[in-house]
Amino acid sequence: MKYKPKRQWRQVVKEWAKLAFVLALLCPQVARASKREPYIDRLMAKARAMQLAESVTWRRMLFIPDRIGQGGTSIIDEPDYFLAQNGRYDPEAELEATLHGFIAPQAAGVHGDDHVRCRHPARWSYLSRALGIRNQDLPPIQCKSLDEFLGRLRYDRVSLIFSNYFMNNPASLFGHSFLKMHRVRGKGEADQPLLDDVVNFSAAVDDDYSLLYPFKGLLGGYWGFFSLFPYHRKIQEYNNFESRDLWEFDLKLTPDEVQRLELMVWELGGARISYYYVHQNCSYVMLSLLESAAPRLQLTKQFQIYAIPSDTVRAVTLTPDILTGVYYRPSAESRYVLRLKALSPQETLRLERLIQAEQPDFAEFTKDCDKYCQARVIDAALEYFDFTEKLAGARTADKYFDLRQKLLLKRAGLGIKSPPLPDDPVSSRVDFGHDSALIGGALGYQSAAGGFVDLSWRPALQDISANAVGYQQQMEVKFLDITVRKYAERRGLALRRLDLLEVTSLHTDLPLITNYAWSFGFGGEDGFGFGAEAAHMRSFVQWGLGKAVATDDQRFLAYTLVGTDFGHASTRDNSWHAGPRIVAGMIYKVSSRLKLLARTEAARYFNPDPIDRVEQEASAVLTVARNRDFRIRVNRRSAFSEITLGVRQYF
Amino acid sequence: MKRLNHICVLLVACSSTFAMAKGDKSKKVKKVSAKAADESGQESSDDSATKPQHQDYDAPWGMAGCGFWSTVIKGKGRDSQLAVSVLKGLPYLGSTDSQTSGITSGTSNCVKSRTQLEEAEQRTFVTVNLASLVKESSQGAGQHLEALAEIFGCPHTEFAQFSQRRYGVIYKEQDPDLVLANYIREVQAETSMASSCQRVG
Repeated sequence: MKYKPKRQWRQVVKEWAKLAFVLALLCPQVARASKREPYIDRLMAKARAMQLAESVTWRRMLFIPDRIGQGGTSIIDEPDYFLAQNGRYDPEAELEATLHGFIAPQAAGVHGDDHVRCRHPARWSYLSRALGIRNQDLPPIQCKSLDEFLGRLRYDRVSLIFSNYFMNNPASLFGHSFLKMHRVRGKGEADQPLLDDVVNFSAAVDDDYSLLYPFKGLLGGYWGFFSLFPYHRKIQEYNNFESRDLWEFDLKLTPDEVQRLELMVWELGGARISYYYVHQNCSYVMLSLLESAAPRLQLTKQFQIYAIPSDTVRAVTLTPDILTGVYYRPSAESRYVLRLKALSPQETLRLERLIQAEQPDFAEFTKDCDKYCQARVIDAALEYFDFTEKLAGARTADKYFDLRQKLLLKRAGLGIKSPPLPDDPVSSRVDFGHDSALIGGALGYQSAAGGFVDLSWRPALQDISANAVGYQQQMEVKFLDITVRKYAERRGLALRRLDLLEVTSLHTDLPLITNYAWSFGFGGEDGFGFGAEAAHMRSFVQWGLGKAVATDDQRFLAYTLVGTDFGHASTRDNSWHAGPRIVAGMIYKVSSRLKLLARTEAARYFNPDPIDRVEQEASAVLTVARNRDFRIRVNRRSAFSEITLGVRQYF
Repeated sequence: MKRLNHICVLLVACSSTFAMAKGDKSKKVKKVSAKAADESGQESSDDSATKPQHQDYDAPWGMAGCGFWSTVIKGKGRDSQLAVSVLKGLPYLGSTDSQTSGITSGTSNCVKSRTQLEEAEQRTFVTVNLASLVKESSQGAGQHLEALAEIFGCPHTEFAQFSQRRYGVIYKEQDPDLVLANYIREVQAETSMASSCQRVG
């Protein structure tokens, strides 16, 4: 066999050349890969040495609350939000996955915005600074959408907004809060608050199950979502449709913090969070969001069990050196009140005649009323329509459609500018109010049973006897209000009263607007029975409807409520009972600190033998600090009289 | 990952939109996308990578809000495309529904041009704030009127006076589309306004 070395050598060279070519192609990848592995290891080692996974900033960016027993679990339920399989439960694994994601090249065929640096720019901002990662050391990426987002929405300030307590919806009884992002304005340009944006967190409620709503709300049966939209929508919704005052608290955040807040909003996007009405609600999540942007703030820690919106506002405003301004945005009803204040008694009469007449007589309206007088009256009328017809959005009036159209045209024809509403808030600044929870103690003496000690506790919110600063003047919301009593000469504690929920509204009339007082409550109390035997426990449901009247300055208010009471007592026989109930009372605000109250209640329970109940009570409450008051109370009920001297501490 | 839609929603949000979401944990959620596996081998848990589909936004808002938009716009029988976009078009931030931004932009992508964005912003602002604009125009002052002047690019004081002066024509019918058209026509017809307003026409 003839050997042909020359040809074989050529083949070998060819093979080597091919191999060299392949190696030449592969080498940079191999080199980069080998460089990357140590790099990620180095980063992780550095992160571990700095304990970044346990850092406050990292935990807050992952929305891991400072709750006892929470461990490292985030409140965010959205699987997409986390990069590691168990990222929700393991901050370190999430950190590692994030760092891996940062250094990964942009995947071919996938949109650039899928890259971790695009999806989690807040994490990138924090970790790259902490670990000294430089952009130029990493594969180049493009974040087109993020860049566009940051280019268009530029913010320089943040406000916390509180939407006032709303009696017409149980879910809004405690108020609501959200954040406003101020758009950057040009030099010398005035703010345009309506065009600022709002970051909101709310539950996505299914109206098919309205009866289940409270239970689902309490048990986390709804998802909560973030949303971002212009402030003017919220103004229409809250100020105009629901007629709730808005309080705006401008916060002093650094430019870095404002930017991180914006990046967090981007990151959170459609992330869902289980909504719990009590402890993981809109207000709590807003505080968490603020903390994620400004980890120096300590806001959520105090809300271990429940978070009431007004308390969360106070948690922010009581932080030293954080407020830069407070603004009040009146509701439709408050605007009506403010426009009424500008009217003389004759002009108020003119307004009433104009609105009550079936066919308004414009000749009479303009008689002895110059164009400024006409403008004032029409301005008040327009707010009256806004309030009574809930004019929001593109809604038009129903009942007063024609009259409103005529008055609008007439108002425009006057050619004069309306003065801005006076800076005279109708509602009280929420953060000036006492904290929501209370604990109270009282010493007392009862005519039959002798001396006693009362202890009371209530997680929320406000009763008529307390100082009304920060609350609605004529509102009472008692939730889980419990009082227990220990008589000196008897063994053991006895439940005195438990209000699971009690809501009272003593809304007084306004010119042209009739309001009714009402109350509704259910709970348990002792003292049921005949005469001296009146010592049984009973549970009850009661409601009442009536009127409240007040002096113009609201210092004196009287009310009466008529309703029914239905209950069940712990006696052996005929324990069910029902009957009418009448309550009448008055409140006199002597000064900003001293309040006098008197109340009488009469009820007849058919059991079927009627049991009458008559109770009179008078008390004086002296507020000595925002969160403390002293009170003396005299009470006479059935055959007994008692007097108590107590102190309350809110917290 | 539909991050692009995220920005679409935000862009329109910046041109005056609002979010409305409906969802119930007990209801089925549809899988939308699986997260791309990154190079470090972080496989997505694609079985659990789910997002709810929000197709019906007429329901009331949650605890914090309320579904008043359905009564203030839809309830009045408005069925224009805008009303649809206001009510159904823009669910919460980060929506995966590409149709949402398309309604306003007229395309299936993001808003294409500044003019389209401006028009969408003007239309949405007038619709959402019409009741307030009507009142403030007749009074010749107010924050809504100032914001509209800003959106039109007009000097605020002149715009407020102009709105009051031409009230009878502009607000002859209280329909957002007509009011917007009237504004544009009347501004263009008045030389001083036409020359000073930057984003009309």
